[in-house]
Amino acid sequence: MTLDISGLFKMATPGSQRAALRRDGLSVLLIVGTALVLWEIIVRVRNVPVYLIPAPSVIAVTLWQQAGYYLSQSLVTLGEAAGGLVLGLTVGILVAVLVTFWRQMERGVLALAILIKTTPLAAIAPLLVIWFGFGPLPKVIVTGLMTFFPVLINVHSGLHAVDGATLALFHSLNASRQELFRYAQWPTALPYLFDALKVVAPLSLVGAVVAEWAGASAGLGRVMWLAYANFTMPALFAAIFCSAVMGIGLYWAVIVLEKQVIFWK
Amino acid sequence: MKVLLENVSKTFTDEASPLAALGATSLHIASGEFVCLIGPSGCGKSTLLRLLADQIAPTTGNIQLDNHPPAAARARKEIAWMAQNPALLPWQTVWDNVALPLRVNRQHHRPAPPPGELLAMVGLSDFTQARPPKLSGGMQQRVALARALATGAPLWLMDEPFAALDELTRETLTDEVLRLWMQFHPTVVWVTHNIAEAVRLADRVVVMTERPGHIRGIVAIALPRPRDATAPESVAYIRELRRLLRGEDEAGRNRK
Repeated sequence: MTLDISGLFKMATPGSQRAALRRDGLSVLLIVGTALVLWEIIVRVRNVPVYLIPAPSVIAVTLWQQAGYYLSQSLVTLGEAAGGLVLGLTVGILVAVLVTFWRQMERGVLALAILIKTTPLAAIAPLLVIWFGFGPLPKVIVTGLMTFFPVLINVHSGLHAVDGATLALFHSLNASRQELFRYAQWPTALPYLFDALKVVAPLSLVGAVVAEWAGASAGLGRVMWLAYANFTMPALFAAIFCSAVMGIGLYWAVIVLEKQVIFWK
Repeated sequence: MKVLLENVSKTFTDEASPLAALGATSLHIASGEFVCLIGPSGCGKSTLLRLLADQIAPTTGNIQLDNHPPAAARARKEIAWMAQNPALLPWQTVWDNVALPLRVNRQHHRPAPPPGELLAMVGLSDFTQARPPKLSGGMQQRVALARALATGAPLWLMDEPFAALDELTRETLTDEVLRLWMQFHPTVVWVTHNIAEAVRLADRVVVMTERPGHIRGIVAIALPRPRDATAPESVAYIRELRRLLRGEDEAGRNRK
């Protein structure tokens, strides 16, 4: 559903950055463009009916003619995804910090987290709709459940990744647990948090769409569901396209934010 | 700070087979003395230093730092620890790294020059706002040295602090440590496996050997500072230390 474009943003020196960006942009344009053109040609040459696979041009026309509709549905999904992402981040970070300070709880809490993680959310989503209705709340919860686990695991690893020399230094100063956390553990964990964010930011859209599928009054998931019910595949692909574009946007936003926050790398 | 070790030994039992890292060892270090621990890898010199730093507890024996156990001295920030890895925080500026001892364990504040002054002492006045990853290895150790001074600690425990640096940088930095030692009069316990360095620095050199680590001999270096490692008097000490390290008697016969 989303493209991995991590290679786009790995350039280090500012001087070569612009040229590298142009080169990478060109390669993305070339490859994605070729794929779209091939898709268009195959559909037209083989005369594939539109209810099986619509040609990219048909999808583009659909998007263009109902731009306002797709924009508003996208924003609904984006809002739910963002809400769920904030929930997942908050819970993931809080639990990781909690088990770092109370080591006795570590095993139990992580076991519970894995239990929640392995629950198929597609099966839970309808139940949440029964509990909380067709509004945004069940979507936020499903997205939160989907995103908290990578955040928890990564931040937990990061909080324990302080090297031995730094630990010896803080030990020699008789620093408290809070001081060690503030000056060493938390900054050490930040790059780990951003690695998790790169995974869960695009994933949050999947969470929101899956939850909408189970029952919603608006959003891209509902658009897709309606497309299946009415056999209007251009609408399905238009919704997928919107979700993909937002996924790339979220990923890119994480990369930009990471450069600001992790300035020392 | 006066350092006293009485029959201190350390056996690591957490591994599959117990490892006797340090046999029963006794050593007295006077306040303000500069002592080098020297010996091959595995002779227990780092173990001894870690015992003094309260990083590990002795299996037997008694350690006293100014008549208190190491844990009490550490709680009062009386121990400055410095190792091969400068352990600088890359997300903080050089100035903030030096100020770290002032920010943690605040209830035990010790008088020390402010970070800016300390950075001037180690020749880094122009780099106070730099980030540590941008500095060379030698400059990073200068920052670590300034940070150690910021504790105002009367005991410096230094575990081969300049072993990763090139020869010239290493000599410059050891000279700076000597200068700062003469200025602040701390007790220094310095671990090294460089014989010439030990002769340049120490009041007394403690020679250790392995399995289990124990003290083979202690050599007092009665030379005025600054010392030249190539002067005949220094070379005589270097020879004596080499002989001790190899376990030979005065005639050069192997004692083993």
